[in-house]
Amino acid sequence: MTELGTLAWALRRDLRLAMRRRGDALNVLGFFALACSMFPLAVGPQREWLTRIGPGVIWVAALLATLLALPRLFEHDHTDGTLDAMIASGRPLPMVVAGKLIAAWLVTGLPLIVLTPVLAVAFSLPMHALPTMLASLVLGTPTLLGLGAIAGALTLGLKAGPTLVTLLCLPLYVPVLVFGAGAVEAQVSGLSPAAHLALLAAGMLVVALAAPPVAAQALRISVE
Amino acid sequence: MTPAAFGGLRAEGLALSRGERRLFTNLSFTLGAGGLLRLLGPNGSGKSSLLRGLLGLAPLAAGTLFSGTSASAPPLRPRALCAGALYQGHASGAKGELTALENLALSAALDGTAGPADESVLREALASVGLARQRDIETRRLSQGQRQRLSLARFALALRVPARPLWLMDEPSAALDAEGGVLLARMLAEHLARGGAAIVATHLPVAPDTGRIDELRLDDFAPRRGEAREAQAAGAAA
Repeated sequence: MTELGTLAWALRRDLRLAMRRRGDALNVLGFFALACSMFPLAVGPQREWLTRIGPGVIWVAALLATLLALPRLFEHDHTDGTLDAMIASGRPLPMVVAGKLIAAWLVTGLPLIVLTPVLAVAFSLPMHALPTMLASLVLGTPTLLGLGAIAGALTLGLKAGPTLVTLLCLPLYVPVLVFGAGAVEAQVSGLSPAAHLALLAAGMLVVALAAPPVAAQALRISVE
Repeated sequence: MTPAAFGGLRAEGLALSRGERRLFTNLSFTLGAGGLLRLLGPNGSGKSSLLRGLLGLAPLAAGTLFSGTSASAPPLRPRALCAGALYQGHASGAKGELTALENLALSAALDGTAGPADESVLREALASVGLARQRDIETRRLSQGQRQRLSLARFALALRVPARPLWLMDEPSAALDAEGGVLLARMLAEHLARGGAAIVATHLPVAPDTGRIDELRLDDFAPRRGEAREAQAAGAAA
């Protein structure tokens, strides 16, 4: 099996597992939709307020939904011994992690983005800002997932793992949130979102390259 | 295809700690093609930890591994053993939501012992360990012994190809019935006869009747009381 074969192996494996455990992905999606729909109920139905807070609310909800999905990324594999088997196989572990991350994004990140246009309507977000909203999520959610994978790998097997992941991740998520919501904000107020989106894309590239090897090393330390 | 013989493994002065406690020190062994090393010792003497340590799943506190049995054998790079080894740990290593066949297909692809196109081979391997009828049942519905048989199916596949000549098995027979024990012994015998090698941690007699079998009692290498205390003091001081 080549390096890419290992990546494809992990990707197919996790997609198949996700198909058997559809509830997990649906929980994340349900959380995202419900968290977003709480805000209009709380702040009232004034259109201009909703338009004002909409991008930020959707972004915060997407961020929290990603956090919700993180503990499961490695936890099951750790308890049933399949993580040990993957490490002991001698296959390149960063490739396994990369495959798992792509699968996790397809299962939890992509559905959020697909649902976003509906929520954007609920927040009466101007239609011309919707592409920017979607682009910022497409560029931002992989970054959230990659950073979270490192934290998840580091805290694997700890009793306070999920709580620690939240505490470790939230400060790192701040820039993604600022630029993500900022891009939509800029578009709504008639400015160009290009700078925000470029920064999000740069962040995603760095994380996409760095997260698999770093998380793989953290996993090796965690199983010891 | 005849599997390539195992190249040999020599360990010198291995030591391993778990937390503050030193499990064993100064442990050495030699394992050549066709050899089986049986790890014995009471619970907590470090049998599982030694297997994990050899693979780099747990850190060795001291010692060197050499690839070969001769005195001039070159030292092994860390984790280099993984590529030629097949490891079965305490946990089942199978996903409960997947069927026995799916789990075996995933393991076989990872081990490089059978491709996804070889479904008949996978079915055969499952039948050979007595799981023909449990093929399409979710693994979480299998009994402990059946799960252990599923792990054995991985080793049955490894008999076909030369990729993984060193078997590392942690209590492979703990949940097996008498028939399963016979099956395990037969598979080990075949593996050794083909020039493979195995390190098996077990308190049950699984020894096949062929091959060169050595026993390693880990409690013989446990630090004596004074040493243990010194090691602890050193650890505390550090």
